[in-house]
Amino acid sequence: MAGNDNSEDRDVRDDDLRRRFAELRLEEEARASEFVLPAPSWAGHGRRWSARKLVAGAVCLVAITTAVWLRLVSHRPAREPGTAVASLTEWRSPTDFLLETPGQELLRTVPAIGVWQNYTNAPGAGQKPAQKHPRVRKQVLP
Amino acid sequence: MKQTDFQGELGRLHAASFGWALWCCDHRREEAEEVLQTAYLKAMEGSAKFHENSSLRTWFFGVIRHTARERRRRRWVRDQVFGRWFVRQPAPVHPPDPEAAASGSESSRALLKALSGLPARQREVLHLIFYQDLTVEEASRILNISLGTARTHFARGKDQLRKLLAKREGKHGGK
Repeated sequence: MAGNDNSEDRDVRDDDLRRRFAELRLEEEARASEFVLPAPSWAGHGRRWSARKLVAGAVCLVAITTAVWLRLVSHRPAREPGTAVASLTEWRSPTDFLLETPGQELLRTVPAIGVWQNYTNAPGAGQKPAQKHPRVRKQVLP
Repeated sequence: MKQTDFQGELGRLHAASFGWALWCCDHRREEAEEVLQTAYLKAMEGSAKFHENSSLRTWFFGVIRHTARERRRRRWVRDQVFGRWFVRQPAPVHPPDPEAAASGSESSRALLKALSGLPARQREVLHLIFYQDLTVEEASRILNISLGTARTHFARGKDQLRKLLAKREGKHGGK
């Protein structure tokens, strides 16, 4: 019962608000401008405007890209004039001489049979060794 | 829907649409007219399409609200970005300016003044339901909120509005 009274009371109070809003609506509708739909030229103007926006956007994009590229180029470390860049195959390490060991030719060359090569810097190393054993002449057996 | 029917329906809705645009623009008449024209343009060009999922009024009110918000956002961005180079426009007053807007009756002025004390979402729900005679469901669709949220805003808004009106009338009655 009490609930019904409460809901009725609510409805009455809603009606009061509705009445106030309706009054406001009447006043505002009386001041409303005339109904005028945008003319086709307006629509065309809208399309032209969006095309202009597209072009402006593209120009901005190109300008930004160019600016970024120029900035990157200007910040690249400058090379001294006249400095030739060494080719990768010609380049040698400054400490390369440390790898030069005595007798490394042994590893690089194939020794020839019958030819004595001097591979070391030891005294007398370049001379042909003395024949210890006399040559025996081969004889053809009967 | 045929183009002529569509235009006719928009014409019939014009007064209500103007009222809603006024509310979306905090009762700035010139801005409301521009927003309404932009919304018409969107409807005519087809950038806002009516799929007949709801009533034309629900759909078009949504377009108006979206257009007004878009406009406000653009202005804010423009002020933030270019404000330091150009003369700054006076910042928009977010709650409606009832004294300037309502040159009507004392009752309407009191109502607008009381509404200016409510949060925006409550104001919008109350306007759509009481002013535009929409249901809570339709209001929730226009505002893109859930039905439950719309009901909550409606109930709280009514209570708050009654309190504000009573306070205002008591103050004026006491004088």
